Amino acid sequence: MKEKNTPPIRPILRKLAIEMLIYGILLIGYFLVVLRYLAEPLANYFDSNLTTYAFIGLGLIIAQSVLLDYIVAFLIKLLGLGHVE
Amino acid sequence: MEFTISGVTVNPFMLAGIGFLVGILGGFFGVGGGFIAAPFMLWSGVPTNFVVGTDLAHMTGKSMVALRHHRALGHVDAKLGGIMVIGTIFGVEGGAQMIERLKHAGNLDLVIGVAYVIILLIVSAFTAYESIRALRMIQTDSIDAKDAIGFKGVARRVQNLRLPPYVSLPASGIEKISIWSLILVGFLTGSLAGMLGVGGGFIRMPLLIYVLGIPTHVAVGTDLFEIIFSAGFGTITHAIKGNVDILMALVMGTGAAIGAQIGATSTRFFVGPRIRLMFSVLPLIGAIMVILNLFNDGIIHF
Repeated sequence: MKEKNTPPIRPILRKLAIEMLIYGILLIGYFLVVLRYLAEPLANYFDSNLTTYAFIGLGLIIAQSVLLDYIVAFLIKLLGLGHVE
Repeated sequence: MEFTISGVTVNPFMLAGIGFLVGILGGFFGVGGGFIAAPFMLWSGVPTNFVVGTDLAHMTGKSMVALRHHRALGHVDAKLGGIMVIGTIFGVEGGAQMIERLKHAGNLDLVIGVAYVIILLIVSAFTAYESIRALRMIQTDSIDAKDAIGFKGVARRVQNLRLPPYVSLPASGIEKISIWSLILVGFLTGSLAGMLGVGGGFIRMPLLIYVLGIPTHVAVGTDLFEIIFSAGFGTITHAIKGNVDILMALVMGTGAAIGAQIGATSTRFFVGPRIRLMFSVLPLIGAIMVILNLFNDGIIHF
């Protein structure tokens, strides 16, 4: 019995490459602007109050993951890439 | 890029690359990937005391991304995950207490290391054996891939266990199962995680599939649900001890976000037995790395 009908690979890989290229460009901007700005405040919290640092840190981790996930999904939709059905 | 909290300068794209690789593993197999990330982080010069906590922090974010995609695919049994968390919390505490007792007895590293290797090798060998059997069943018996499991005996007995109260798990296709089975599996994996200092994904996954009879794709998604809680709790405790570089975790998370999405989406193109067969390699890699660490630290030698 056939396991699954798998879609063609080349279009998937092409879409993936485009997605990662655009994402990589956005990442450079994100590193240079957002994360560098966060470095000093985070270091200050680390030095002054570890409990506050812990909860702010976890909040940032969760917020970033949700934000980046939506950005990737938005890119896919904006560029009309979509996912193979 | 300088990370003042951990006191190192590391290429952020290398960290994002580590996160990307671990993200794919997490999204595809439902594991935390700490056993892959930790050596890479150490190799990048991250101080040892920051490796575990920082990895747990980035693992929390990565698992959230992967979970979202698995949930969209219908691969998450939140009811199952929520009940298991109860057992996991007590299990982690129990595992940590066991560690304290072993510390006083001596030879902690050797005992933990050997136990870890044995468990990983058993999980790897058994998962490989079962998945190969299941793949043969698909070809020879012409059964549907989602029903192909080469070892169903224990799961049948557990599902038939007469120990109320019972719950139904419609997302997993289980009509009735004792709630104590779920809590016990959570407790067991939590204990191992607490003792071995890992997320427990590569132990939890096989237990979900072979002991509780959860379908593979649902086991992957539900495992991620558990990891969010255990890694999130671990992040807080390690951060309060000053062992988490949040900025580093955020950088790793940028790669993990897209890696987890790719990994999660890729599960659509593979049947359960194939995922399990590929999964069987991970505990083997973990066992090899533990053995290498035991030699490097001089705990075992020729």
